Amino acid sequence: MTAHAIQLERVRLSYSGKAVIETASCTVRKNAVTAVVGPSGSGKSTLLRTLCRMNDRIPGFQVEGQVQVLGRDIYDPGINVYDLRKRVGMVFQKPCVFPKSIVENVLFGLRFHATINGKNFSERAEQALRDVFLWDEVKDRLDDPAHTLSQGQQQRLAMARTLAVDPEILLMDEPTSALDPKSSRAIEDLILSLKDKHTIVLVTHNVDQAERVAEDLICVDDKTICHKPCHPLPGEGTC
Amino acid sequence: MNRRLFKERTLLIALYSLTVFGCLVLAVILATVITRGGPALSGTFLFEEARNFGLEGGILYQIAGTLILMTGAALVCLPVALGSVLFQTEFLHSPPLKKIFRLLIYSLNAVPTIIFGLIGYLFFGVFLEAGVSWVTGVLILAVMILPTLHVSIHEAVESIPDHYREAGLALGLSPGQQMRAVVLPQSLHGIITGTLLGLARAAGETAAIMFTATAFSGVRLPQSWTEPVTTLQTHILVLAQEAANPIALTNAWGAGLVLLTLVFILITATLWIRSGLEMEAER
Ligand SMILES: Nc1ncnc2c1ncn2[C@@H]1O[C@H](COP(=O)(O)OP(=O)(O)OP(=O)(O)O)[C@@H](O)[C@H]1O
Ligand SMILES: [Mg+2]
Repeated sequence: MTAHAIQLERVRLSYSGKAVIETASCTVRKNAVTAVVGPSGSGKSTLLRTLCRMNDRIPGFQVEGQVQVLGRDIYDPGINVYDLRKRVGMVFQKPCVFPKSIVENVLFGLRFHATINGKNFSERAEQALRDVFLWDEVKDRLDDPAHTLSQGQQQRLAMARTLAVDPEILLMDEPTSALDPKSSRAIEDLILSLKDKHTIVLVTHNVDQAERVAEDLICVDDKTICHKPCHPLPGEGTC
Repeated sequence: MNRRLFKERTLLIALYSLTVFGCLVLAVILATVITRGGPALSGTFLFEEARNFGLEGGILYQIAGTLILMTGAALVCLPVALGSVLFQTEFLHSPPLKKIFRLLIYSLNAVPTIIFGLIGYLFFGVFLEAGVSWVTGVLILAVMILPTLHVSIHEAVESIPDHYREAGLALGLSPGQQMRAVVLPQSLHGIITGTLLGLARAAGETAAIMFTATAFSGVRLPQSWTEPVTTLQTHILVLAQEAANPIALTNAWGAGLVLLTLVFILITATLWIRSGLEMEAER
């Protein structure tokens, strides 16, 4: 068992032969928040999506090198990719809820993974909604359509849906960039509360946000990546 | 007036006149069918069986036969179309194969219907020894409307927003689960409208079923797999051949009006369902 949740070794990521990241080697600690920062178009999303093989369906996308997640090379042919995605959840920039009720959205993934009965489903839904601090806001309207929620609530609902299947690693791609400052702070608090049980990798454009929530920093730039301590001492912090 | 403005005006006028012309043709056809066929309509005409080779009585079993062939074709075609779309979009990953598949479907759409009738008759009727029967008709029509259904279901599936698919994917759903949870519910409107459009197309079809599935007189509801039905289309065709007899002609127009109304109801339902579901999707 390794101490790292994620370990990249000389990883090259390319679309149709054009490299987005030329060589990347880094590690992500367990039960910590790691922020990924870098200029637009530098490949932050590409890097994040590589970690749960979300780019598999993009023709021409190619991964070279070794991507170890939870102790296994996830691009090994023997890997069960559906199980991997269950253990490595992902939350997207734009809150995505399905045109269903609030509670059905929470149970969306769980229904396919769990072998539990009806009563336990509602317990699991409640737990997931409590985890994202949404329970008190929606407990009286669980059967309302999910799109009646605010954007910030929808993003937390999307997180509850991901948390309901109990992933070990949570990948988040700019989860607050579509939200107002207050909702963003709510998500940040949520992220901090989740790191006891989960390993979190967070892509963000907001350096202040990275400083507020992250312990480790990964900078993506110039087709390569580097580690930085999050609160650099004077003179430190160069790649 | 400068040249560009003049050009634009001319183009606009041309477009207007073409539109008006198209609408006019449609209006004339509608008016003719209604004025000629209207007098034939009555309770007797709609709810009684034809007597004396269509000169007396009504078109009850013709309506029933048309409905049987249409719904039968839709029921047979829907699972096939759905399956082929899902195969194409969810499981076929190589772009060239996708292209070939698409080409195949579009070519199928362009085959003259009489060819369908001929091949259908040889295959179902002669080779499988079904003879002239409503089942043969259902199968031929099902093959005929397959491209229509396929194309419109395919469109609906392709237009599912990517973020829904990604959300399902990120939750670890397998392709089968993804299909049940995301693809089918999100393309429901396309499936319904496609089926209705296919039905409308099947309703207008005469050539392919004329000699394979229908008979003109003495036919009621089929009691076995191998019996023919009678349809509005056959009825109109045979009555229209007796051009000298004004009663026959009026009854032909009447049957035409009923057929047109059936198709009209289908198209209206299609538009209605489509707009309703779109509103829901946009909320
Ligand atoms: N499906 C794709 N096919 C080809 N190239 C792609 C694809 N997706 C992304 N790219 C390219 O890869 C590079 C990195 O994109 P990516 O989305 O990972 O950047 P990013 O750092 O997340 O940017 P942003 O901060 O704007 O979200 C870009 O140059 C982009 O054009
Ligand atoms: Mg991005």
